[in-house]
Amino acid sequence: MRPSLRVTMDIAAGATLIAVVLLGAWWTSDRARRWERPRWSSASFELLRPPPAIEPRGGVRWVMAVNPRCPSCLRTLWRFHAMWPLRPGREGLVALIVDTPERPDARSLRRLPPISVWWDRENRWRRRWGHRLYGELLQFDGSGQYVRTISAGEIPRLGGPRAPDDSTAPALEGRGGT
Amino acid sequence: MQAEHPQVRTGGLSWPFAGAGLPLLYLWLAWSWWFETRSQVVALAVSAPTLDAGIFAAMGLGARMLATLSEAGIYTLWWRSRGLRLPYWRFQCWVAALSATDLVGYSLRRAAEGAPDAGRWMIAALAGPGALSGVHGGMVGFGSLGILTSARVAMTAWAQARGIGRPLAGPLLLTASAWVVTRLIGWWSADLMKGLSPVP
Repeated sequence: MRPSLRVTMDIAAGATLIAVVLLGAWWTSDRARRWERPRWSSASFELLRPPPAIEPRGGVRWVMAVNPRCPSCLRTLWRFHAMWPLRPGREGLVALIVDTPERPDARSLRRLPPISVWWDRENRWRRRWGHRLYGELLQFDGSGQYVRTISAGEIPRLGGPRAPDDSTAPALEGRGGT
Repeated sequence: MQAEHPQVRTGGLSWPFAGAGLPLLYLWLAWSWWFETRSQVVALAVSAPTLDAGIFAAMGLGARMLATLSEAGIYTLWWRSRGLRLPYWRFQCWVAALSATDLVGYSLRRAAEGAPDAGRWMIAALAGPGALSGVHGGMVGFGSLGILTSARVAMTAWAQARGIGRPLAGPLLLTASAWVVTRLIGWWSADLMKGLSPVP
Protein backbone atom coordinates (compact mmCIF):
# COMPACT_ATOMS: atom_id res chain seq x y z
CA MET A 1 0.00 0.00 0.00
CA ARG A 2 1.19 3.50 -0.74
CA PRO A 3 0.03 5.91 1.93
CA SER A 4 0.93 8.92 -0.23
CA LEU A 5 -1.15 7.60 -3.14
CA ARG A 6 -4.04 6.91 -0.81
CA VAL A 7 -3.89 10.45 0.56
CA THR A 8 -3.69 11.82 -2.99
CA MET A 9 -6.71 9.81 -4.12
CA ASP A 10 -8.68 10.77 -1.04
CA ILE A 11 -7.90 14.44 -1.65
CA ALA A 12 -8.87 14.08 -5.32
CA ALA A 13 -12.15 12.39 -4.39
CA GLY A 14 -12.89 15.08 -1.82
CA ALA A 15 -12.08 17.85 -4.28
CA THR A 16 -14.34 16.24 -6.87
CA LEU A 17 -17.20 16.06 -4.41
CA ILE A 18 -16.69 19.70 -3.43
CA ALA A 19 -16.66 20.69 -7.13
CA VAL A 20 -19.90 18.76 -7.70
CA VAL A 21 -21.52 20.47 -4.73
CA LEU A 22 -20.41 23.87 -6.08
CA LEU A 23 -21.77 22.99 -9.53
CA GLY A 24 -25.03 21.98 -7.90
CA ALA A 25 -25.18 25.28 -6.05
CA TRP A 26 -24.55 27.16 -9.31
CA TRP A 27 -27.24 25.14 -11.05
CA THR A 28 -29.71 25.75 -8.21
CA SER A 29 -28.99 29.47 -8.31
CA ASP A 30 -29.41 29.56 -12.08
CA ARG A 31 -32.69 27.63 -11.94
CA ALA A 32 -34.04 29.84 -9.16
CA ARG A 33 -33.25 33.08 -10.97
CA ARG A 34 -36.28 34.94 -12.26
CA TRP A 35 -35.60 35.73 -15.88
CA GLU A 36 -37.41 38.41 -17.81
CA ARG A 37 -40.14 37.38 -20.19
CA PRO A 38 -38.79 38.06 -23.70
CA ARG A 39 -40.32 41.04 -25.41
CA TRP A 40 -39.62 42.56 -28.79
CA SER A 41 -39.09 46.29 -28.67
CA SER A 42 -37.19 48.18 -31.31
CA ALA A 43 -35.82 50.39 -28.55
CA SER A 44 -34.13 47.39 -26.95
CA PHE A 45 -32.02 46.51 -29.97
CA GLU A 46 -30.07 48.34 -32.62
CA LEU A 47 -31.22 48.01 -36.20
CA LEU A 48 -28.30 47.13 -38.46
CA ARG A 49 -30.19 46.36 -41.61
CA PRO A 50 -33.84 47.26 -42.31
CA PRO A 51 -36.26 44.65 -43.61
CA PRO A 52 -36.67 44.19 -47.36
CA ALA A 53 -39.34 46.35 -48.92
CA ILE A 54 -41.56 43.34 -49.58
CA GLU A 55 -41.50 42.24 -45.95
CA PRO A 56 -44.45 43.27 -43.77
CA ARG A 57 -43.74 45.68 -40.96
CA GLY A 58 -45.25 45.66 -37.54
CA GLY A 59 -46.74 42.18 -37.68
CA VAL A 60 -45.73 38.85 -36.22
CA ARG A 61 -41.97 38.49 -35.92
CA TRP A 62 -39.90 35.35 -35.89
CA VAL A 63 -36.55 36.24 -34.41
CA MET A 64 -33.57 33.94 -34.80
CA ALA A 65 -30.73 34.39 -32.35
CA VAL A 66 -27.49 34.07 -34.26
CA ASN A 67 -23.82 34.65 -33.67
CA PRO A 68 -21.90 35.58 -36.84
CA ARG A 69 -19.01 33.43 -35.59
CA CYS A 70 -21.18 30.32 -35.52
CA PRO A 71 -21.32 28.74 -39.01
CA SER A 72 -23.82 26.07 -38.01
CA CYS A 73 -26.40 28.59 -36.77
CA LEU A 74 -25.83 30.75 -39.85
CA ARG A 75 -26.57 27.69 -41.97
CA THR A 76 -29.74 27.17 -39.95
CA LEU A 77 -30.75 30.76 -40.64
CA TRP A 78 -30.08 30.43 -44.36
CA ARG A 79 -32.03 27.16 -44.48
CA PHE A 80 -34.98 28.70 -42.69
CA HIS A 81 -34.82 31.79 -44.87
CA ALA A 82 -35.00 29.55 -47.95
CA MET A 83 -38.20 27.91 -46.75
CA TRP A 84 -39.69 31.18 -45.46
CA PRO A 85 -41.70 32.02 -48.60
CA LEU A 86 -43.54 28.71 -48.16
CA ARG A 87 -45.06 29.89 -44.92
CA PRO A 88 -48.46 31.59 -44.96
CA GLY A 89 -49.33 34.94 -43.44
CA ARG A 90 -47.60 38.24 -43.15
CA GLU A 91 -44.81 37.36 -40.81
CA GLY A 92 -41.40 38.90 -40.63
CA LEU A 93 -38.17 36.98 -40.23
CA VAL A 94 -35.53 38.78 -38.21
CA ALA A 95 -31.92 37.94 -37.34
CA LEU A 96 -30.89 39.02 -33.87
CA ILE A 97 -27.13 39.09 -33.42
CA VAL A 98 -26.29 38.00 -29.89
CA ASP A 99 -23.15 37.41 -27.83
CA THR A 100 -21.34 40.02 -29.90
CA PRO A 101 -19.93 42.83 -27.74
CA GLU A 102 -18.55 44.80 -30.69
CA ARG A 103 -20.92 46.28 -33.23
CA PRO A 104 -21.06 43.80 -36.14
CA ASP A 105 -19.29 45.09 -39.23
CA ALA A 106 -20.41 44.97 -42.86
CA ARG A 107 -18.52 41.74 -43.39
CA SER A 108 -20.54 40.03 -40.68
CA LEU A 109 -23.78 41.29 -42.16
CA ARG A 110 -22.87 39.96 -45.60
CA ARG A 111 -22.86 36.46 -44.14
CA LEU A 112 -26.54 36.78 -43.26
CA PRO A 113 -29.47 36.33 -45.65
CA PRO A 114 -31.24 39.47 -46.92
CA ILE A 115 -33.54 39.98 -43.95
CA SER A 116 -33.88 42.50 -41.18
CA VAL A 117 -30.88 42.36 -38.84
CA TRP A 118 -30.76 43.67 -35.30
CA TRP A 119 -27.92 43.76 -32.81
CA ASP A 120 -28.52 42.77 -29.20
CA ARG A 121 -26.08 45.32 -27.86
CA GLU A 122 -26.85 44.65 -24.19
CA ASN A 123 -27.09 40.91 -24.75
CA ARG A 124 -30.58 40.79 -23.29
CA TRP A 125 -31.14 37.44 -24.95
CA ARG A 126 -28.61 35.80 -22.67
CA ARG A 127 -28.40 38.07 -19.65
CA ARG A 128 -32.06 38.92 -19.11
CA TRP A 129 -34.05 36.30 -20.97
CA GLY A 130 -31.81 33.42 -19.92
CA HIS A 131 -31.58 31.91 -23.42
CA ARG A 132 -28.27 30.38 -24.49
CA LEU A 133 -28.57 28.29 -27.65
CA TYR A 134 -28.02 29.95 -31.02
CA GLY A 135 -30.28 29.23 -33.94
CA GLU A 136 -33.45 29.12 -31.89
CA LEU A 137 -36.52 30.98 -33.13
CA LEU A 138 -38.46 33.28 -30.87
CA GLN A 139 -41.94 34.24 -32.00
CA PHE A 140 -43.40 37.63 -31.07
CA ASP A 141 -46.85 38.90 -31.92
CA GLY A 142 -47.62 42.22 -33.52
CA SER A 143 -47.36 44.08 -30.24
CA GLY A 144 -43.99 42.56 -29.39
CA GLN A 145 -45.37 40.08 -26.86
CA TYR A 146 -43.52 36.82 -26.61
CA VAL A 147 -45.38 33.82 -27.98
CA ARG A 148 -42.96 30.89 -27.91
CA THR A 149 -39.51 29.59 -28.75
CA ILE A 150 -38.68 26.85 -31.19
CA SER A 151 -35.31 25.14 -30.98
CA ALA A 152 -32.96 24.97 -33.94
CA GLY A 153 -33.49 21.24 -34.13
CA GLU A 154 -37.23 21.69 -34.61
CA ILE A 155 -36.93 24.26 -37.37
CA PRO A 156 -36.99 21.71 -40.22
CA ARG A 157 -40.49 20.80 -39.04
CA LEU A 158 -41.55 24.37 -39.77
CA GLY A 159 -41.18 23.73 -43.49
CA GLY A 160 -44.85 22.81 -43.85
CA PRO A 161 -47.73 25.19 -44.20
CA ARG A 162 -48.17 25.53 -40.45
CA ALA A 163 -45.84 25.74 -37.51
CA PRO A 164 -46.09 22.92 -34.96
CA ASP A 165 -48.30 23.71 -32.01
CA ASP A 166 -46.11 21.85 -29.57
CA SER A 167 -43.52 24.39 -28.67
CA THR A 168 -40.77 23.11 -26.43
CA ALA A 169 -40.32 26.47 -24.77
CA PRO A 170 -40.16 26.30 -20.98
CA ALA A 171 -43.07 27.65 -19.00
CA LEU A 172 -42.84 31.39 -18.83
CA GLU A 173 -44.76 32.00 -15.66
CA GLY A 174 -42.12 32.03 -12.98
CA ARG A 175 -39.51 31.35 -15.66
CA GLY A 176 -38.49 28.21 -13.88
CA GLY A 177 -37.56 26.41 -17.04
CA THR A 178 -36.97 22.76 -17.37
CA MET B 1 5.84 -3.39 -9.88
CA GLN B 2 4.60 -6.23 -7.80
CA ALA B 3 8.18 -7.12 -6.85
CA GLU B 4 8.66 -3.59 -5.58
CA HIS B 5 5.44 -3.73 -3.58
CA PRO B 6 4.95 -7.29 -2.45
CA GLN B 7 2.01 -6.28 -0.30
CA VAL B 8 -0.01 -5.36 -3.42
CA ARG B 9 -2.56 -8.07 -4.18
CA THR B 10 -3.75 -8.97 -7.67
CA GLY B 11 -6.68 -10.99 -8.94
CA GLY B 12 -7.51 -12.46 -12.32
CA LEU B 13 -9.13 -10.53 -15.15
CA SER B 14 -9.00 -11.83 -18.68
CA TRP B 15 -9.32 -9.80 -21.88
CA PRO B 16 -12.90 -9.47 -23.13
CA PHE B 17 -11.83 -10.62 -26.60
CA ALA B 18 -8.99 -12.80 -27.72
CA GLY B 19 -6.20 -11.93 -30.16
CA ALA B 20 -7.43 -10.51 -33.45
CA GLY B 21 -10.80 -9.68 -31.95
CA LEU B 22 -9.33 -6.76 -30.03
CA PRO B 23 -8.34 -4.51 -32.96
CA LEU B 24 -11.66 -5.28 -34.61
CA LEU B 25 -13.47 -4.37 -31.41
CA TYR B 26 -11.66 -1.03 -31.15
CA LEU B 27 -12.26 -0.26 -34.84
CA TRP B 28 -15.96 -1.03 -34.54
CA LEU B 29 -16.28 1.03 -31.36
CA ALA B 30 -14.44 3.99 -32.93
CA TRP B 31 -16.62 3.95 -36.04
CA SER B 32 -19.82 3.46 -34.06
CA TRP B 33 -19.10 6.25 -31.63
CA TRP B 34 -18.04 8.62 -34.44
CA PHE B 35 -21.25 7.86 -36.30
CA GLU B 36 -23.41 8.23 -33.17
CA THR B 37 -21.81 11.52 -32.20
CA ARG B 38 -22.18 12.88 -35.72
CA SER B 39 -25.84 11.90 -35.79
CA GLN B 40 -26.44 13.73 -32.53
CA VAL B 41 -24.60 16.86 -33.66
CA VAL B 42 -26.54 16.99 -36.92
CA ALA B 43 -29.86 16.40 -35.16
CA LEU B 44 -29.36 18.98 -32.47
CA ALA B 45 -27.73 21.73 -34.55
CA VAL B 46 -26.34 23.00 -31.28
CA SER B 47 -24.84 26.43 -31.32
CA ALA B 48 -21.41 25.87 -29.91
CA PRO B 49 -19.77 23.89 -32.71
CA THR B 50 -18.13 25.98 -35.35
CA LEU B 51 -16.84 22.99 -37.29
CA ASP B 52 -18.25 20.46 -39.70
CA ALA B 53 -20.32 17.79 -37.96
CA GLY B 54 -17.93 15.04 -39.04
CA ILE B 55 -14.92 16.86 -37.64
CA PHE B 56 -16.81 17.66 -34.48
CA ALA B 57 -17.73 13.98 -34.18
CA ALA B 58 -14.06 13.06 -34.59
CA MET B 59 -13.21 15.44 -31.77
CA GLY B 60 -15.98 13.87 -29.72
CA LEU B 61 -14.53 10.45 -30.44
CA GLY B 62 -11.13 11.64 -29.26
CA ALA B 63 -12.68 13.00 -26.10
CA ARG B 64 -14.49 9.71 -25.54
CA MET B 65 -11.27 7.74 -25.95
CA LEU B 66 -9.58 10.00 -23.43
CA ALA B 67 -12.55 9.59 -21.09
CA THR B 68 -12.35 5.79 -21.37
CA LEU B 69 -8.62 5.80 -20.70
CA SER B 70 -9.14 8.20 -17.79
CA GLU B 71 -12.01 6.21 -16.31
CA ALA B 72 -9.98 3.03 -16.32
CA GLY B 73 -7.00 4.92 -14.94
CA ILE B 74 -8.95 6.45 -12.09
CA TYR B 75 -10.36 3.09 -10.99
CA THR B 76 -6.91 1.53 -11.30
CA LEU B 77 -5.32 4.28 -9.21
CA TRP B 78 -8.15 4.12 -6.68
CA TRP B 79 -7.64 0.43 -6.05
CA ARG B 80 -3.88 0.82 -6.14
CA SER B 81 -4.19 3.40 -3.39
CA ARG B 82 -6.01 0.71 -1.42
CA GLY B 83 -3.18 -1.77 -1.97
CA LEU B 84 -4.93 -3.68 -4.77
CA ARG B 85 -3.72 -4.10 -8.31
CA LEU B 86 -6.11 -3.79 -11.22
CA PRO B 87 -4.55 -4.66 -14.63
CA TYR B 88 -5.02 -1.36 -16.45
CA TRP B 89 -5.12 -2.32 -20.12
CA ARG B 90 -7.36 -5.33 -19.64
CA PHE B 91 -9.74 -3.30 -17.53
CA GLN B 92 -9.63 -0.41 -19.99
CA CYS B 93 -10.60 -2.86 -22.73
CA TRP B 94 -13.60 -3.96 -20.68
CA VAL B 95 -14.64 -0.36 -20.13
CA ALA B 96 -14.40 0.36 -23.86
CA ALA B 97 -16.26 -2.81 -24.80
CA LEU B 98 -19.03 -2.11 -22.29
CA SER B 99 -19.56 1.33 -23.82
CA ALA B 100 -21.32 -0.58 -26.61
CA THR B 101 -24.30 -0.82 -24.27
CA ASP B 102 -24.56 2.99 -24.46
CA LEU B 103 -24.58 2.78 -28.25
CA VAL B 104 -27.42 0.27 -28.11
CA GLY B 105 -29.22 2.54 -25.65
CA TYR B 106 -28.99 5.54 -28.01
CA SER B 107 -30.32 3.47 -30.90
CA LEU B 108 -33.18 2.10 -28.82
CA ARG B 109 -34.21 5.54 -27.55
CA ARG B 110 -34.27 6.82 -31.12
CA ALA B 111 -36.35 3.84 -32.16
CA ALA B 112 -38.79 4.61 -29.35
CA GLU B 113 -39.83 7.85 -31.07
CA GLY B 114 -41.88 5.98 -33.62
CA ALA B 115 -42.82 2.98 -31.51
CA PRO B 116 -46.26 2.20 -30.05
CA ASP B 117 -46.78 2.74 -26.31
CA ALA B 118 -46.05 -0.83 -25.29
CA GLY B 119 -42.85 -0.79 -27.28
CA ARG B 120 -41.78 2.50 -25.79
CA TRP B 121 -42.25 1.19 -22.27
CA MET B 122 -40.20 -1.89 -23.09
CA ILE B 123 -37.49 0.30 -24.57
CA ALA B 124 -37.65 2.55 -21.50
CA ALA B 125 -37.06 -0.46 -19.27
CA LEU B 126 -34.03 -1.36 -21.35
CA ALA B 127 -32.61 2.01 -22.32
CA GLY B 128 -34.00 4.33 -19.66
CA PRO B 129 -36.90 6.76 -19.19
CA GLY B 130 -35.41 9.11 -21.78
CA ALA B 131 -37.20 6.90 -24.30
CA LEU B 132 -40.52 8.20 -22.96
CA SER B 133 -39.92 11.86 -22.36
CA GLY B 134 -36.93 12.95 -24.41
CA VAL B 135 -33.81 14.48 -22.97
CA HIS B 136 -35.07 17.38 -20.90
CA GLY B 137 -34.10 18.38 -17.39
CA GLY B 138 -33.06 15.46 -15.24
CA MET B 139 -33.44 13.13 -18.20
CA VAL B 140 -30.17 14.55 -19.55
CA GLY B 141 -28.46 12.90 -16.61
CA PHE B 142 -30.63 9.95 -15.76
CA GLY B 143 -32.61 9.33 -18.94
CA SER B 144 -30.38 6.38 -19.76
CA LEU B 145 -30.93 4.60 -16.46
CA GLY B 146 -32.34 1.27 -17.54
CA ILE B 147 -31.37 -2.36 -17.66
CA LEU B 148 -28.56 -1.72 -20.14
CA THR B 149 -26.91 0.98 -18.07
CA SER B 150 -27.38 -0.99 -14.87
CA ALA B 151 -25.75 -3.96 -16.56
CA ARG B 152 -22.86 -1.80 -17.72
CA VAL B 153 -22.28 -0.44 -14.23
CA ALA B 154 -22.53 -3.94 -12.76
CA MET B 155 -20.17 -5.39 -15.36
CA THR B 156 -17.67 -2.59 -14.82
CA ALA B 157 -17.77 -3.36 -11.11
CA TRP B 158 -17.50 -7.08 -11.82
CA ALA B 159 -14.39 -6.50 -13.95
CA GLN B 160 -12.83 -4.57 -11.09
CA ALA B 161 -13.76 -7.23 -8.58
CA ARG B 162 -12.19 -9.87 -10.81
CA GLY B 163 -9.14 -7.74 -11.35
CA ILE B 164 -8.46 -7.01 -7.71
CA GLY B 165 -9.68 -10.35 -6.43
CA ARG B 166 -12.20 -8.88 -4.04
CA PRO B 167 -15.98 -9.26 -3.52
CA LEU B 168 -18.29 -7.31 -5.81
CA ALA B 169 -19.78 -5.02 -3.15
CA GLY B 170 -16.92 -2.53 -2.89
CA PRO B 171 -16.36 -2.07 -6.64
CA LEU B 172 -20.13 -1.87 -7.18
CA LEU B 173 -20.50 0.88 -4.60
CA LEU B 174 -17.59 2.78 -6.11
CA THR B 175 -18.78 2.40 -9.70
CA ALA B 176 -22.40 3.25 -8.95
CA SER B 177 -21.34 6.31 -6.95
CA ALA B 178 -19.08 7.47 -9.77
CA TRP B 179 -21.91 6.97 -12.27
CA VAL B 180 -24.34 9.03 -10.20
CA VAL B 181 -21.80 11.83 -9.78
CA THR B 182 -21.02 11.96 -13.49
CA ARG B 183 -24.74 11.95 -14.33
CA LEU B 184 -25.35 14.85 -11.97
CA ILE B 185 -22.48 16.75 -13.58
CA GLY B 186 -23.93 16.04 -17.03
CA TRP B 187 -27.44 17.12 -16.05
CA TRP B 188 -26.41 20.33 -14.34
CA SER B 189 -23.86 21.25 -17.00
CA ALA B 190 -26.39 20.74 -19.79
CA ASP B 191 -28.94 22.88 -17.98
CA LEU B 192 -26.39 25.63 -17.42
CA MET B 193 -25.34 25.50 -21.05
CA LYS B 194 -28.84 25.79 -22.49
CA GLY B 195 -30.47 28.07 -19.92
CA LEU B 196 -34.10 28.61 -20.90
CA SER B 197 -33.49 27.78 -24.53
CA PRO B 198 -35.56 24.78 -25.53
CA VAL B 199 -33.95 21.67 -26.94
CA PRO B 200 -35.61 19.34 -29.44
